[in-house]
Amino acid sequence: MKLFKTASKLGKEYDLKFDKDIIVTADDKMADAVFEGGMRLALEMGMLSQSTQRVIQFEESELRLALKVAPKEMILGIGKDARTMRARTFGDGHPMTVCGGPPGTPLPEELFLPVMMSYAKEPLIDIIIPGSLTRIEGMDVRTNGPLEIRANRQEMIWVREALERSGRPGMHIYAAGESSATELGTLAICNERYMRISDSHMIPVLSELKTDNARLSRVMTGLEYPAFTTSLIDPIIGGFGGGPTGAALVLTAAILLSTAAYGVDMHCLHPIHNKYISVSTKEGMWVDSIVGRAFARNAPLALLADAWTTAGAGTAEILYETAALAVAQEASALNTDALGATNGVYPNCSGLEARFFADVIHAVFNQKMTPEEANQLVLKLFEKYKHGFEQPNYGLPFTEIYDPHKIMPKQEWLDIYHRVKNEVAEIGVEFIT
Amino acid sequence: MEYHKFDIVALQDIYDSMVEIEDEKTPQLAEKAFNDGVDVLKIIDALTKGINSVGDKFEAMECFLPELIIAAGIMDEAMKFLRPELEKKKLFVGTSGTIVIANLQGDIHDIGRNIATVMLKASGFIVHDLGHDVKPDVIIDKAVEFNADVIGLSSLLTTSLPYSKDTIKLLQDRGLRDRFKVVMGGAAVTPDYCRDVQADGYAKDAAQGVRVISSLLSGK
Repeated sequence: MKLFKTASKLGKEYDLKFDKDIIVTADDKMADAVFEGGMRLALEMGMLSQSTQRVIQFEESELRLALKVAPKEMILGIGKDARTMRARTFGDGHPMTVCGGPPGTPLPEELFLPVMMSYAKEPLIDIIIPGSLTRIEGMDVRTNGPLEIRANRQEMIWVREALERSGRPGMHIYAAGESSATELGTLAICNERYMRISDSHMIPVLSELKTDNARLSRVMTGLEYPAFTTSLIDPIIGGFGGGPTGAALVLTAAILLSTAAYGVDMHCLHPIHNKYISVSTKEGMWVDSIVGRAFARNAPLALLADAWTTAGAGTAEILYETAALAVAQEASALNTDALGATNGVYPNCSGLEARFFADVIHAVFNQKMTPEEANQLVLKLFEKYKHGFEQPNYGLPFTEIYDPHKIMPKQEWLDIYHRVKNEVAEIGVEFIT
Repeated sequence: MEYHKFDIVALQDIYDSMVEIEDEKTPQLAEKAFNDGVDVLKIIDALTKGINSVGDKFEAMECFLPELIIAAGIMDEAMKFLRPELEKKKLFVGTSGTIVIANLQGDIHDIGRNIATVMLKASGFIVHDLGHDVKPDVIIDKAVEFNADVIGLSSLLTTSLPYSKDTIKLLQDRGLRDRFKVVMGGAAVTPDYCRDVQADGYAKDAAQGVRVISSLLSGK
C-alpha cells in the first residue's frame, strides 16, 4: 500500500496525466517529471528482498553514479555479426537495434530449430532472443528440476545451430536461457558451448520493486561470468502502482534500482495491462513512450521494450499491432526486445512478423517521423486491432504458416504480409523495401 | 459499472461510500445505520453490492488493485460488528463457496493470485490464500482442512505448470478428486492445458475466474 500511496502522491505532485489520445508523447515536461518522480519513488521505496525481507536502499548519489557508469554503447555478438546496442537519444542518428525471436514462448521440441531459423534468416534482425523448451525428450521441464539444465543447454545448442545454418554464427543471443526460470538454468549455460560472453542473460525485477536471492544469484553469475546482462521489468498497469501514470513511475524507479542493484547493461521494459496483458494497449504503449523519452532526455540507457501482441502469426491483426508497437517504440528512442505473439502463450509465431516489425522501424527512422506524426499513425493502427483484446485471433501454428523444411513463409501468410504492408504504407509509413 | 439504487437513504450512503472506497467512512456509516435500526441483512447487501461495483471499476481500469484490496478491507471491518449481530439473531448469510488458492510449486509471482483472491472475496467466497511456491501435498492438505469446494491453481511460469498435473494426480491417488473442483489460471495456462490435465475449469483472468467458479458450484 505504501507503493500505491507514494506513486499516487507523486503523480499528483508532478501533475502526471494519461491521455488516451496521446500514445506517443512529445511532452518533454511530463517526461522529465516522470524521471524525477521515478527517482523519488526509487529512493523512498528501495528494492525489497523477498528472501530476507530487507529493503535494499540507495542514496540519490548512488543511483546517479550507477546511471553515469552504465554502458551507453556496447558491441553485442562477434565478428561480422556483431551489432552496436546504444543508449538512445532523440536525433542521435541511429535507428534502434532490432531484436527478433519468440521471447520465452513455449515451442515444441521438434519445431524449436526451424522456428528459430525463421528469425535468424531475417536480415534486418540484429540480435536474437530464444523461445523456450517446456519438454525435453517428452519429459516436462519443471521449475527447480534437473531438466531445467538440460532444456536451457539444448535451447542454446539449437539457437546457435539456427544462427550457424543461417550464416550468422556470431549474432548476439539476447536473454539466453529462456527455458529456465531459475538461477539453475543460468548457471548451467555459463560456458562457451552455450552462452558466450558476447551473449546476454536476463535478471527480472519482481513486481513491484522486489527481488530475491534467486534473482541476486543471477546478478552474481553475471559478475563472475561476464556475459552481458539485462533486467526484465513488468510493471502492472492497474496493479500496485496504480494506473498508467503510476506504472510509468514504477517502471522508472525499477530501471534506476536495477541499474544500481543488478549492474545490468540493458533493461527490458514490459508494462502489462491488468486485463489484456498486451503491450499493444494504449496504456502499455504510452508507458513505454513516456519512460523512453524520460531516459533519453535525462539519463540515456540501453532500453529494450517488449512488443507483445494479443494476436498470433498468420493474421492481419498481429501485423497492425506490430506496426503500432514499432512506430511507438522507434519514435520514443527505444530499442526493442522482440515481438511476443499471443503474449508468448501459444507457439503461433514466425520470422515474418519480425521482418514486418523491422520494416516499420527502418521506415519510421528514415522518414524522421515526429512523435506527433507517430501518434496519429498509432491511433489509426489501434482502431484496426482493438477488437482483438476481447476476441483474440491467436492465429496459426508455425507449421501452418511456414514450410518447416525450407523455412519459408507459405503464400497465404505472405499475401497477408503484403496486403497489410500496403495498407500501412497508405496511412503514412514510407517503406524502404 | 452497474449502479445500484436503494430506497433507504442510509443504505444508499453505505453503497456510495463503498463505491468511492472511503475506508474510514464506510464502516462508520454501516454501524450508524445498524444503530438507527436498519436491518443488518440489508446493510450487508448494500456493502456487497458496493464491493461488486468496485470490482467492475477495477475491470474497467477506473480503480486499481490497491483500491480493490482496500475495499475488501472495508468489508472485513464492517463485518466485525455486523457478524456478531447475525449470530445473536441466529441469522445466516450464505457464502458462495470456499476456495483454497495457491501459486504452483516454483512460481513466486503473486499479483495475479492477489487479484483473483480479492475479486473472489468481493463476490462472497471464503478464500484461503496459501501464497506462492506451494507444493501439491500442501495444497491438498489445506483444501481438506478448510473443507474447500474449489482448489485454485495459478502459474505465470510454464515450468511450474507440470505441478498442476501432480496436484490432480495426488487428488486421484488419495481418492479426493471428486471432492474438489480444480480451476486454473495465470499467464502460462491455456484452455488446452487445462483439458489435458483434466482440470475442471480455466480462467483467463480474475473476473472470468469468479464466473467459472460460480458456474461450477451452481452446477451450471
